[in-house]
Amino acid sequence: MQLILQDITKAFGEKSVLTGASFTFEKGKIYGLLGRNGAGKTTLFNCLSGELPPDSGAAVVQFGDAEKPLTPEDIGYVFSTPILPEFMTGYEFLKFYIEIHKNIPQTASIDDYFELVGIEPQDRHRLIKGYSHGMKNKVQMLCFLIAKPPIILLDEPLTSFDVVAALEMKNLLRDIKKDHVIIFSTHILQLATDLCDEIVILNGGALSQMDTALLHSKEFEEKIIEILRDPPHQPEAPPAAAASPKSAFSLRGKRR
Amino acid sequence: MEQTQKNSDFASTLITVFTVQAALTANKFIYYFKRIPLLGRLAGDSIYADGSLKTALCGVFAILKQLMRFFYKALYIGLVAYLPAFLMLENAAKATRQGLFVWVLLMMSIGGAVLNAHTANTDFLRYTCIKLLGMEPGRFIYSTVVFDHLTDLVFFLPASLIFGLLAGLPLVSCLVLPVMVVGLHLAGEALHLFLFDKCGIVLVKKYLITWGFAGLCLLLGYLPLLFPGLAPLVRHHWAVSLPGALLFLVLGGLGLHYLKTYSVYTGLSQATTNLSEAVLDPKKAQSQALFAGVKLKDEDLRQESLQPGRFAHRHGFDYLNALFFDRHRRMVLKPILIELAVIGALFLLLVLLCILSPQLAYTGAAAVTGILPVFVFCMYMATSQCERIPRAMFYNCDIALLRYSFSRSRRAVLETFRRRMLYVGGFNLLVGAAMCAAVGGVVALAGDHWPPDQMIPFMLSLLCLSLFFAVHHLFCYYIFQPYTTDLNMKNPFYKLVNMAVYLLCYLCLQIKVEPRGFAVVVSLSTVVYMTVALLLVYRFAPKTFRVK
Repeated sequence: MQLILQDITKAFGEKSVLTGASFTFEKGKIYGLLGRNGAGKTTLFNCLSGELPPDSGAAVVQFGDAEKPLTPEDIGYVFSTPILPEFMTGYEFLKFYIEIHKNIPQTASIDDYFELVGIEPQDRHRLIKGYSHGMKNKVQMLCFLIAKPPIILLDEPLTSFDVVAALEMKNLLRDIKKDHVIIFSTHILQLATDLCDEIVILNGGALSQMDTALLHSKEFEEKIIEILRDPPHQPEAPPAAAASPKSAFSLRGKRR
Repeated sequence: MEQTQKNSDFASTLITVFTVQAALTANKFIYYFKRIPLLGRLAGDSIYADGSLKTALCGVFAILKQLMRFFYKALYIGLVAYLPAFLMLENAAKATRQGLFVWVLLMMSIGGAVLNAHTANTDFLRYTCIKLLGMEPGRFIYSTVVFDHLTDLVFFLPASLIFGLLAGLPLVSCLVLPVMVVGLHLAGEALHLFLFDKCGIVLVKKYLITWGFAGLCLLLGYLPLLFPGLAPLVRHHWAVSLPGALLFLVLGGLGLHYLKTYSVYTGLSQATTNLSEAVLDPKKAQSQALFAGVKLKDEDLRQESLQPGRFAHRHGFDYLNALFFDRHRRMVLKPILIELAVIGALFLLLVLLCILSPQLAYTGAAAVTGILPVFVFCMYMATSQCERIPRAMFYNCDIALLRYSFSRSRRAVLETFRRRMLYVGGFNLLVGAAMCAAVGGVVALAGDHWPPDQMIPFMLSLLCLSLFFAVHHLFCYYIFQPYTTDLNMKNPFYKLVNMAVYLLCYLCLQIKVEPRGFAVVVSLSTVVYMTVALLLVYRFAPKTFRVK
């Protein structure tokens, strides 16, 4: 299974945020999406999840030879600020969520799910209103464990977790990655090198992939900073030229 | 030398303040201009950086603002002093009315001087200049306050001349009027500064004292109007005579001197310029307030309502709605119960009336059946909780759930709409049915014969109305969904449609028509509205029901 982005553009007024983002993401890999503040990471995620309509371009999911347009149902989206209906308890929300996704076979009970992310029994029947940021994030993570969407987007996740919880979540992501395309945006380079199989850079509104060989090298941080410091992409220039600014990076995103 | 320095400080401070103010105004104008449909597209984002355009806009706004000051002063003098003195005391002697005109202005100026102090103002401009741009508080406050008051001399002049001459005051007296007002205001500023310096009191925050004093001045000012016998007491308009002018000049001069030599502006600024969100972003504060009433409180979440297994037999959206309405009983069920209790109590009272005074009850019952229009408005008021329910739905539930793709699907949107409609419509029907039963019962007890061809349309229209308000509010919510994640209201239609419905219901109070015909019209129109609304929801809500 592959997620293929084809020249996605999005502008807000005169400000072009995405200027032709193209890339092919593959199942079984965790992609770290890096970009400076305001580069458009959340905008890209919002366009993919159906929160925002892109101005042009397309996103398709390819299963073997079959191809279908990406629909919001294909996406599990963990927002940087967890958003949950606060009038429900964590337990009630999960019950509701499982019932809404009843066509997806569940191998675990609600309590098993809570167990999995380390939410204590006494907290499960408390209102989400009183949950900490980290607990809310865990519940959001559980949503995609339940819905099992082929594509999982995580907008700056793990930042609110304590070290133990972060490790648990990292392990969880590693465990489930074989069945999903996982893309997560982050500013924490250590997290990216730690967890990701691939690094994708969003710079000047276009996506480019970093050479995997550099991921664990000493120059990784330097190279990332070098590329992110590059002058912004000029919309008139062909996207390919703008998206491959340094020889250390090869544009491996498949263009169609 | 020092004097020249101070004067140049005064001027340069004012220029800086005006530049900041002009930029704030121009940016605000551009921001709102860009939001006008179609027209707004003419302005791109780069317009904010267009210096010459902004300068031109600033110029226009500065001139408009100053012109408006002439207008406001005229409005003030005209409405506050001239009109009362010359319209209400038509029969009094001219000298008495002249005296009263000056007296009212004098009292108002004294009251105003205590009530308002520019030196203790908290506005966005001051916050920007002092807190954000780091301007020295003393320079800012002194320059702006002195400028405001001294220019008031000019802005009061035309109005003083017009109304003064109209009142028949001598020209010199007309010229003294602005001196009186400004002199008193400057002295007032000094009083505020003095109290802060000596006692640490920010007088403008002592609402009881300032408003009490201002109220007293108002009362003293208008007392001769209420008791014309007192009017001759104030006919000697000494305030606008030469000694009066001298007095106010001295007061103003002393005030000005105190302002100039005052040394605790920084402390005063700290004590006054800590702005609340309400001043900095009134729109946001307003929206927060809009949702304050629908926030869940501890009392809404009793321990038993959080018991595991509650509503466990329900599933999916049915489960969600059962929980939602269970935890929003204060907003949904409680008002209904109160209304039912009120209807019950009124019913019992009327039953008592039937027993104690059958004749009066009989006459009353005959009248009740003919006042359906009044019931339209009563029903509007009785179902007013329906207006709050969508807000609660948005704030406590939809703002979060609509971020999930499953709840934006056509099936989910329509299913939640249907379930919510059943809840809210059911509750409203209960109120409608109770009203019908109460009215029918009272009429029967009073012994009045209510022909079925009149009774049925009457009751049917009440039931239709109760359902109509439930449909109306939910329909508006699903079609216009006006709220944003920042809790702002984006869709003006939502307000407009609601206002139109309110107006219609209010107008029903005013009309007198043949009862049966009106009942038929009400029933038919509500049925048509509900049908159209439901069709529109079915057709469009899956697209329109989104978080903006």
